[in-house]
Amino acid sequence: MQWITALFVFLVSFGAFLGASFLAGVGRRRMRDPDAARLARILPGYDCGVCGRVDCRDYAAALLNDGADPALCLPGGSATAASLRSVLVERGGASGSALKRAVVRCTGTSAAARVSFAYEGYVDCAAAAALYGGPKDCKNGCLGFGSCLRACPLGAIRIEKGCAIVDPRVCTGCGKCLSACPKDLLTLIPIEQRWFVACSAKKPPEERLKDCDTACTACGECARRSVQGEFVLDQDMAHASLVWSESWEDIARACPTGAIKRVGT
Amino acid sequence: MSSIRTFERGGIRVRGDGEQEEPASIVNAFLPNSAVVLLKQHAGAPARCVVRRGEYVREGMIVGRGLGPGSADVHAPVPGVVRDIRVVLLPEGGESEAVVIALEGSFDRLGRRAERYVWNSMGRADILRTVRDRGVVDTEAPGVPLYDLLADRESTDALILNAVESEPYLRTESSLLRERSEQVSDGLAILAKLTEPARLVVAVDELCIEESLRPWAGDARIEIVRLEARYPQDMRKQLLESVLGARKRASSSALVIRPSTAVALHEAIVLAKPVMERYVTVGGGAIKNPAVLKVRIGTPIGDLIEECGGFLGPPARIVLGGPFRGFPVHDLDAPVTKTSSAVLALSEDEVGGARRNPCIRCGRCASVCPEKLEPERLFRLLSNRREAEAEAWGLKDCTLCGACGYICPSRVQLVAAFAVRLRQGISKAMEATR
Repeated sequence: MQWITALFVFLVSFGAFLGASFLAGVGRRRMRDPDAARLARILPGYDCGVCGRVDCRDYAAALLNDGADPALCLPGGSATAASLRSVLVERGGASGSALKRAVVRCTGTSAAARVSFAYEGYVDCAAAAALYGGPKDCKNGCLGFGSCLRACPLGAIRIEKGCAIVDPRVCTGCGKCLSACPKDLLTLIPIEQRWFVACSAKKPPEERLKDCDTACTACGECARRSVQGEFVLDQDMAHASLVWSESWEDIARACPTGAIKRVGT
Repeated sequence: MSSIRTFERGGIRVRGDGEQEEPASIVNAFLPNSAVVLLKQHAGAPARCVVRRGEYVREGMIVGRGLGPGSADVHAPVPGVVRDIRVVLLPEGGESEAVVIALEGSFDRLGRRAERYVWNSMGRADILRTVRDRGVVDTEAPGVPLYDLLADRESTDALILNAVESEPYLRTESSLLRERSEQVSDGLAILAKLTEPARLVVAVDELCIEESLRPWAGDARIEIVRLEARYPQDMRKQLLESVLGARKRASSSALVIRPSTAVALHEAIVLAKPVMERYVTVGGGAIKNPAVLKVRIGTPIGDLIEECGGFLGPPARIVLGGPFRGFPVHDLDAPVTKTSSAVLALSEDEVGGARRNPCIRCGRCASVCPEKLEPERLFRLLSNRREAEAEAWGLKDCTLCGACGYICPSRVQLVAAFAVRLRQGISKAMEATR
C-alpha cells in the first residue's frame, strides 16, 4: 500500500504544481495591459512589418507606450485604423490620465475671415504661411490646410469651412498637434472647461474686425458680465480664467462677435 | 576657344539650342515718389531703425544699422522725409520693419560728377570696413553681407565671377557684363586683391558674345570658362562642379560672386556710394516692353511695370525673382530690395494649368535632379511624415532649384514640400543657436 500512497502524494503534488504554474501564467497574463491584447487582436496578425515594427504585438505595444501612429497598418487598412483609434480613445478617456484636451484658438471660417489672395500652392499650413504669412488678412488665424489634422494620431481634428476644430470626445490631450501649427493656435485646456476664447489676433483691437467678423475686439463685454471673474481682459484679448460657474454659457453667448466658442463646435 | 563645360548630371535645358535672352541696354528708372525701404534686405536679423518719423534724410544716409553677422546697414535711396515706419510682410515669409521715405529736397549725388577714389592704395582692413559701412550684400538671395563673405577669407582657391544666366527671362547679369564691363572688372579686381585667389575664373554662358569679355582679353591671370545653358548652372554647387570638377566641389573655399555684386562693390569703394540702387530685369509674357532697369531700392514694383509699358493682358502671376526660385507677390506695392534680381509678370499661357495628378512614378524628377536625389521618394516619405528617413535619403542636399517640379508631368508639388521641411530645419537650428 505504501507505494500507492507515495504515488498518490506524488500525483497530487505534481498536479498542484501544474495548477499553480498555470494560475501563475494566467496571473501574469492578467498583469499585462489588457488594451495591448485588444489592440493585438484588432491587428491582422500577419507580422509583415510594414508599420516598421517587428510584429503585430510589438506594434500594439508601441501604440500604447510610444504613441505610434495607428494608421500605419497597411494590410488592415482604414477599418483597422479606426478600430485601433477607438481603443486608444477609450483608453485615454477611461484611464483619467488625459486631464487636458486641445482647442484651436481661432474661429475665422471662410465666411468670417477675409483673404487677400488665392493660395494655389502646396496644401500644407507651413507652406502657406511661408508666403506672406498665408492668404488670410488676419495673420494669426487658422489657415485651414490641415497640418494639425495630419499630425493627430487619433483623427480628432477636422477642417470645417477653412478652420480646424478639435473633437473633444476623441482628443486625449497628447499635444502632438501643438507643434504642427505654424501659427501656434492649438493649446491644451483643462477638460472641464467648456468655453474658450477662439481668437489669437495680435493686431490692435480696433483693426481686427476689418480682417475677421469673429475676432475678439477686446470690448470687455465678457469681463463686465463675469461676476466671479470667469473671463478677464488682458493685453487686448479676453481670456477664460479657471473659475467655474453656472453663468459661463450666458457670458459666452453675450460675446458680440462670437469669439467665445464652445469646445468642439 | 575652350570647350563648353557643365555639371555632371541632371539639369534642364529650358531654352532651345542657340536661343538666348539677349542682353538688354540698361535704362535708368524714374525715381519713386515714395520709397519703401525694408530693414531686412539681407540674410540675418533685420537692421535696427535709426531714424524717426518726420525726420529729413539725405540721399545715402544710414536709416538702419546692421545687427551682428548676416545683417547689413541699410541706407536711404532717395532724399526725403520719413513718412512712416511700419511692419510689412515679406513674400518669402516673415515680416520686417520698413521705412517709408517721401521724395523731397535736393540730391547730393544724382546729377553730379562723382569723385573717383583710388582703391589700389587702400589696405585690406580699410576696404573691408568700407564694404561694411556701405551695406554691400551678395545680390543673390538670401543676401549674405559681402563683409561676412570676405572677413574670414584671407586667401581662397578660386574666385569665380558668376555671369551665367540659366533661369529664363533673367538677363540682369549678362546685361551688366556687356554694359558695365569696366565696373564689373574693377569690382572683380578689388575682390581678387582681398581674397588672393589661386584661380580667377569668369564663368559665362556658352553663347556669350566676345564683346562682353573685352576687359579681360589678353589677361593671362583670368580663365574664361564657357558653361552650357543648363538650369541650374548658376547655383553655387553646380557652378563649382562645372568649373572645378565634382570632386573638388565640397572642399572648395571658392568665392562665387555675381556681376551685380561686383558693380555694387565698385560703387561702394571707387565712387564711395552706399547701396542705393539695384539692376532689375522686368520681363515675362504679360509685360509690354521688357527691359533691364537701374532702380532705386524701395521703388514699388508697380512703378517698374508701368515704366515698361504696363501689362499686355491680365497677368496670371507676378514673381519677384526668377521663375524657378522667385516668390509670387500679390501686391504691386512690394518694394525692390538689394536682392531682387527681377520682376516678372507671367501670362496664363506661361503659368500653365494648376491641375494636379498623382505621381505616376515616371522618374523624370530623379533624372533632372542635379544633386542626384530621388525627389519622388523624398516626397513620398515626407507625405507619410517619415522625415528622418527623407533626411537619410539626402533631403538636406536639396538646393530647392525647382528642376524636379518643372519637369513633373503630374505637377506634383515636390519643391514646396521640400522647402517646408528644409525651412523648418533652418528655423529649428536658429532657435538652437539662440
